[in-house]
Amino acid sequence: MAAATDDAGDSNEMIRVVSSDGEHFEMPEAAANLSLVLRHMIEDDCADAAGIPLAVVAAKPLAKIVDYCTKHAAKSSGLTIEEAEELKRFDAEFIEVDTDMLYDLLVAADFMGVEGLSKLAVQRTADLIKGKTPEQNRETFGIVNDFTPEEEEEICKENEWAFQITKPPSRLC
Amino acid sequence: MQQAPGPHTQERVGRRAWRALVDGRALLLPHLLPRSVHGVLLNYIDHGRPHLFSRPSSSSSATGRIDGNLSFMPNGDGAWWSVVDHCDGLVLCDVQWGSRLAVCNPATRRCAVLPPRAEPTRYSGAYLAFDPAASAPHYEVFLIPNLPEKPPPPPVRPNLEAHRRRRTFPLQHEMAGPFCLDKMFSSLEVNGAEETEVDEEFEQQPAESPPTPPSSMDDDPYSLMEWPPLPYRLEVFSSRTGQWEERAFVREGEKVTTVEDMLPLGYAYRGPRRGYSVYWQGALYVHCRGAFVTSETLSDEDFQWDSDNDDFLAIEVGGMALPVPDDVLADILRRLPPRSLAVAQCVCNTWRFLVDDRALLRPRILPHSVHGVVINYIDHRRPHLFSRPRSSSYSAATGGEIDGNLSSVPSYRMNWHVMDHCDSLLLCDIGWGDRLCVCNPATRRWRPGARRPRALSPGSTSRSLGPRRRTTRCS
Repeated sequence: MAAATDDAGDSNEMIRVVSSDGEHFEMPEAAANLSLVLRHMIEDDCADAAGIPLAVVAAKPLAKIVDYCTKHAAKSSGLTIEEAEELKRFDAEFIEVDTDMLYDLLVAADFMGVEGLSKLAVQRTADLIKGKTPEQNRETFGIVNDFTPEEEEEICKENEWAFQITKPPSRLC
Repeated sequence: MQQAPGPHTQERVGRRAWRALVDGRALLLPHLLPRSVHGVLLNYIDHGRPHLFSRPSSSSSATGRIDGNLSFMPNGDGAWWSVVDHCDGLVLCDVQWGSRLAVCNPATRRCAVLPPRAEPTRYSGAYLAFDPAASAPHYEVFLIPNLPEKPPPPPVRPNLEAHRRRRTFPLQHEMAGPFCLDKMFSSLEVNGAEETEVDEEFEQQPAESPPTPPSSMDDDPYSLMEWPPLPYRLEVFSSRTGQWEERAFVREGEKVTTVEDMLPLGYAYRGPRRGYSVYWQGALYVHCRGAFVTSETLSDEDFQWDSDNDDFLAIEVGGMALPVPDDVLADILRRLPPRSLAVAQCVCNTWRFLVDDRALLRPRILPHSVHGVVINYIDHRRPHLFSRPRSSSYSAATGGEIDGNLSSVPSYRMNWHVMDHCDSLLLCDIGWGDRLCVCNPATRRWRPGARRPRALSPGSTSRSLGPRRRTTRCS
């Protein structure tokens, strides 16, 4: 099938997709090809005017995904250094979302098989967790501490080392 | 694979997409159960055990591959059980004389007994929600509460005729609007002040409220109590968290129903219809009318009466539809350094479970870059880690993130030494030659092995250990 080209919008057909809540979106075929699921469906001639239904992706994350794919498809080949830098900046800005949207993107990107976005969302999630205390993590992800005091003491003791930045010199040897 | 496994999967997905889906994700394996009708499982009203009537299939025995008699369930005295509900191939059973619930799969012959509830209140029905296409391998169990207890002074005798008459009225027009449940309950406690309280309610909304309904039964505040109350609190077990939780539901739509509407026959009906439920596209439809339904605030999900059928309560089971897939979770965890992973474990039970209990994730959690070299000396018992000098957290004593000195091994005071290693796990001898322990210097976890029988640990075996013996290779 048609490979991604630089001017994705003009030379390619537009692919229509429908979100779980019934909203229609359009993107160039090159952009849709970034999604494994959409690419397979296009190759299997399942894309038509009615649009490809994505029963588990809501309109809000889908709009973001269409944005992402369109941007990346337009710049998929023959990147200059500046363009690569720009795409990186786009990604960094793109993934600055709240945790609800991040969750939606994680699930939707994985479902649709958009590898780049999947990696981006996974890395963002890992970055959010990294270097934080349990309390900060609970705050970030809106988690309620459901340990009993005894459990918490036990689990914190078990992982005591992780809370210590530096340790006294080894007792061994 | 010829049949679409569920409503969430688009039938339009072509062959290529299917293949990619199945090949790419080992996680879909629970879907790979036989999709043809193997037989019919009959659960009798008056007989505790179900029977499977299977189609005579080729070479296999009468029960075929599906264990329709659930013979893997515990049997014998004290192990009484019965089938309560089912959903898409999974069966919900009442076990241990009704004190616990269990979910089992007759195809794989696995059975998971749910943990006991914190406050085991009575419930009118337990229902299973499972969609292999959307949420596999996770399921949820919903408990529909009993109707609240009738207040102590029972002045009204059951009047079946009045009930039948009343049933012909359109239910929503009879109501004066939503009642404040708290008021209802407090008025009941005062005992005797009910009438004035109720009158106030009616006076506040004179325009909409129809005249007081004719039957004397209708004055009973108990019968007029809004039911299900707002918010409707259900006890829910989620296999994802492995815990019971209370989930609040809010009503969608205008229709308000009362306790009386739940008792169309004037008494609590406990017949077989009680057990009817359907899980379809993220909503659980439960037969509630006539059920001996109890109660007890926050709202995040919806329930509504099915517009076509008054008898069914539809509960929107959002949330569970799409958990983050395991491979994505594994990918997130894999990107965390061991220290953050250990901290993540202390966040909440779910995270702890993710990090700790998923043996599958373990091999992926290890750091993937060479952090340093652990040298185990022949003539010196303890190994040393020589790690690469890294960021600020590096200290010579701890060797940064990896515990190369194995300070996490419990019995460091005792005589222990490293005997072998394989793919970053170390085998240590921690008990004077008769006790082994496997430890992971990255995650600082260790597992002691069982003590060997004395007879098997004579001095001669330990004497035979020489440095050359330790050159092993696993491929």
